Amino acid sequence: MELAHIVLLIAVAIAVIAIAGHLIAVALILKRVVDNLTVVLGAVQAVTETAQPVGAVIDEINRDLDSGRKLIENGVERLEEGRAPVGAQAEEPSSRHAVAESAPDTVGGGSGTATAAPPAPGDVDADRFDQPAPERKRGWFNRDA
Amino acid sequence: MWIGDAIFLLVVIPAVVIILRRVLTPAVEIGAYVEDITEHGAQFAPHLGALSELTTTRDLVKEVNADLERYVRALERVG
Repeated sequence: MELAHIVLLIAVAIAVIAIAGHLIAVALILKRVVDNLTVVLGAVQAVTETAQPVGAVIDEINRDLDSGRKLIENGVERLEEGRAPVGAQAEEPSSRHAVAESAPDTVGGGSGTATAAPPAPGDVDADRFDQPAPERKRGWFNRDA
Repeated sequence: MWIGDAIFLLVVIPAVVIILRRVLTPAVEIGAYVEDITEHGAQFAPHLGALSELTTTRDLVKEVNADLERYVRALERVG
């Protein structure tokens, strides 16, 4: 065997070792990548399972909050309507309620308290009675009612 | 024969090494990125633990609604 053949064999061995070393390094890196991606996939699946029912729960919370807001608005409107005759007294002293306001037989000064004599239904009350009754059967709390 | 050996040693082997380096370098970067993703992505789940409290929030909102209606009715009776 000539020396040139020996050098060629050594060169081929160097090339093979270099290729094998790099391929082994790439394989190890890919194995580590697969392991890490498996961990990430498990975490993502856990997150998906955790967050899956959140949308429905948030929708339900929003519906409840909305129904509560409407409940408060309707209650405030009804209270304001209930207080409307008192404001009408101040604005319209010539109405029928002005007589009751000036009467001294009321405990609270005759300003429409519970102890005052109920005034006869005037125009404001007639308007109030003409209005449709507020809908009370709303929200989840009236499902069984 | 010596010319072939010289070409193999001075051209082919460096070319192979360069090509393999061009494969290995992105692989190493991918490995680093994936480790980074794992480090930060795996911490996702513990931060979402509070989502289980949403059911408690929902129940509390229902209770508040029920009490709110009682409150509004009581206010109407008072008013």
